[in-house]
Amino acid sequence: MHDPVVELFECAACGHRLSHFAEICPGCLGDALRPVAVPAAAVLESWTLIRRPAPAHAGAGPFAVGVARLAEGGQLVSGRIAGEAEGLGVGSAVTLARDAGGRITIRAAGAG
Amino acid sequence: MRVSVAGIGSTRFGRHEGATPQALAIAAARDAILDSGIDRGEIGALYLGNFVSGVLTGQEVLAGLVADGLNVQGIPATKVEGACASGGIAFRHAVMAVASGQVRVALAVGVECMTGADTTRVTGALNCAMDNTTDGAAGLTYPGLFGLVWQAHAARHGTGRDDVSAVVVKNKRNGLRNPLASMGATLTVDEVSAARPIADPIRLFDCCGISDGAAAVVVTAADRLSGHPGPRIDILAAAQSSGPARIAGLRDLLSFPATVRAARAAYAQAGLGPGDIDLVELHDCFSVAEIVDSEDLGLVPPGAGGGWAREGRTDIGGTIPINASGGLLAKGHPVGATGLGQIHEVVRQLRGVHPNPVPGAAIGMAHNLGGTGIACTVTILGRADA
Ligand SMILES: [Zn+2]
Repeated sequence: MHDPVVELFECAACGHRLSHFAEICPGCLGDALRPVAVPAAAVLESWTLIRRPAPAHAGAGPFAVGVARLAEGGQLVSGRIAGEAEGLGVGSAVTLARDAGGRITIRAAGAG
Repeated sequence: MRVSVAGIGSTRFGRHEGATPQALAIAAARDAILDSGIDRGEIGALYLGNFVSGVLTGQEVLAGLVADGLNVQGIPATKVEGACASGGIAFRHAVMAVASGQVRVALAVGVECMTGADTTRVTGALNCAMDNTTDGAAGLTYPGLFGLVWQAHAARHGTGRDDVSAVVVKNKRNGLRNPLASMGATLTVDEVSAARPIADPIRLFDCCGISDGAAAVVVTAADRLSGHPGPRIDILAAAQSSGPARIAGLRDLLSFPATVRAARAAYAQAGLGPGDIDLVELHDCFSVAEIVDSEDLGLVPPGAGGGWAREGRTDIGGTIPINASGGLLAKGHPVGATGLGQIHEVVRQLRGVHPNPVPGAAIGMAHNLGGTGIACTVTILGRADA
């Protein structure tokens, strides 16, 4: 049984870490950002239920968007709350993943 | 060089059926020029704040169109864009043009036309101000962003529905006395709490309305105004900052670093502190934004914004009157015009001619915040005779 991981991006030159890909590292302006797998454990910092989506997400609502803080490193990330949001609240343990499009998703820790 | 406000103009904020952005901007600019008493031939530069006129109306080159409509062609006419802070940014550029000695007189004008589009199109246009590879891709909207901010504020500071509703009730009430605001209303806390949910816990009355409008300010060197009637209003600070481009760049959801930076710079420029500010027009795009902004500006202690609103300490006559104009909640938010509309309101207060006056006001602040906190301006104005 392995603890789940989520892919972030880390600069091989300066160690700067981002939750999104960038061509150029904002830490050192080098071009050495590489995928890195980090523990996917996080804590839900906030959430909202989007009832009036933007046109790019038309037909998908209502859906929940959350902000979680990674247990390792303490960085905030935003993402769609996947699966059962029932029972999730500020302070809930969550697990981060990426969907097929590479977007971060947030789900209750231990949920399948 | 000391720079002063020479003249102000504004259309009503609300619905202007069929109006083009250039027509509204020209009307507001004409009023500002007439108010200044300065010949338009003396204007050496024009800065125009606008956010999404290309997306929503199909019309760009607004700065040149306005220069043409005012018959001040030949001067540099520049459009600036910083999402909801576009108007404040235009103002700061006009101030810098005069302060640098490049021109004697500069015109800042802001405009947006939004009511011709339906809510879905407007939501999509507003999302242009988000990083659409991260927050936007997650499905976030602006009501959603402030839903997130609210839940975090509630978890940390216990800010509840009634605290946030107090902001709405106050601003809607203030707007009733302001002819430039068309969304003033007498609301109860219960009515605000029962309104249609938009992005939990944000409900309908927590959101500023979709509006059209324009506002303009003429600025000039203070010595150019000797002999003019009425109190001279000086620009004590015109600060602008940038901030993280996405939520992942924030330390937490309770503070926008761009506001903190711009406020710090503005207080330093003016040699003043939060206790010197007699009134503020701040960026209440959503009810809870007023609470967070008031804390970021140092006007209210961290975490106390909700309590201060509920206790009436942000009313006219309170510790720090916030949005006596009705703010964005009662005026609406014609995005590119908002920052200049706020300065227009502060100038009327300091001149002593505001329809909803803060008695004895000598120093006022305007705060204009763009996007997810990616851009901000903070302006401090003061009566020269105070
Ligand atoms: Zn680097």
